[in-house]
Amino acid sequence: MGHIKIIVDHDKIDYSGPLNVTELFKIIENFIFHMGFDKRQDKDFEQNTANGKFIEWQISPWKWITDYARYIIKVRVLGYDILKTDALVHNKKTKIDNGRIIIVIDGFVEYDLQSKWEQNPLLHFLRAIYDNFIYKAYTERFEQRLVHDINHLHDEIEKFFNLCRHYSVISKQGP
Amino acid sequence: MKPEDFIHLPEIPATPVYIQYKGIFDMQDLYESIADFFRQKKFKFYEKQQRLRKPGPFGAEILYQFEARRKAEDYYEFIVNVTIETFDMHDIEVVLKDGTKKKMTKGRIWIQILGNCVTDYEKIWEKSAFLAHLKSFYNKYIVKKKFEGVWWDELQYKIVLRLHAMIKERLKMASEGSEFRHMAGVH
Repeated sequence: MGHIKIIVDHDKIDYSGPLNVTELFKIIENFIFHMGFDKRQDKDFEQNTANGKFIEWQISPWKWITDYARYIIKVRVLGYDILKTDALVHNKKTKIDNGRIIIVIDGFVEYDLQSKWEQNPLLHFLRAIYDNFIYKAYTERFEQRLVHDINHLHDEIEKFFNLCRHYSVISKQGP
Repeated sequence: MKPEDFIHLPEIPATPVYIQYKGIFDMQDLYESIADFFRQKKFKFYEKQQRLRKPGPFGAEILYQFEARRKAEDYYEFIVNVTIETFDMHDIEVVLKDGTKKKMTKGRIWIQILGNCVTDYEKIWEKSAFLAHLKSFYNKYIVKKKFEGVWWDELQYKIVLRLHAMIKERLKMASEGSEFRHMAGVH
């Protein structure tokens, strides 16, 4: 277990209304696939209750950026009281889901996964110096790129829900 | 000193995957789909354990443990362990869309899928200390990229996650489908 640094802490979307849950999961998976992340599925729970479906879905995809550091994005989706309702889409009657969805996104950078630099206090100290001073420009750039990716994902989800978008990605990705 | 203590990377496990579902499902269909999936992927499928308990009035608890093995090449094999546990299970009769009646199961189900890619499954490289060190060198420097990049990817995306997606499809869960299904392989 390496050193994990929290970069994005609980970026949250709370939505109630009509949606397509299957499409939502597809959008998130598609995004992480195109960003080159490897997929890890932590939770995939579904319970049919008297008030509708309860869903808990969590993934924590990761991507190696160097042989020393990797990104981890944790996406947790909670769905409450999801029921199928009828809706008119392009004058066609279709069934869609309706309910409350909470999405929580966290972003981490994990350094030194093999704990090679944690074997003794001197190495630990050297690593801190290296990360914070010598390699500072790269460390900050890694973090900035992760924030950019998560903002992008947040924006995609808001677009899907057709929400009033408070953020649109205009920042250029670092080199 | 055991060979496992110094052999580099004797195996790489895929990420464990879990499913929990509460509702109505067809256990027979699920079982047949899993067995068929492994048959199509050229695995040998073993039923290791099936345990039935009736702890209370709410229904039966059944534990199924399956193991699937495929010797992909002479040097490595895939092992996938599937554990299914059901709780409060009882049979019900449902009416399908076409009006026919069918017996299905109602209850809770918990599924765990563990995949593992194991090298030197016949333990040929562990007959002497020299061979064991040679295996360690081979794993660490010669096949490392292939092991981590190609073999592991095949296990993770084409077997474990596809099986996971297939089970969700059979259970008709909201999260059915996998965006990684079109992932191309490198051979």
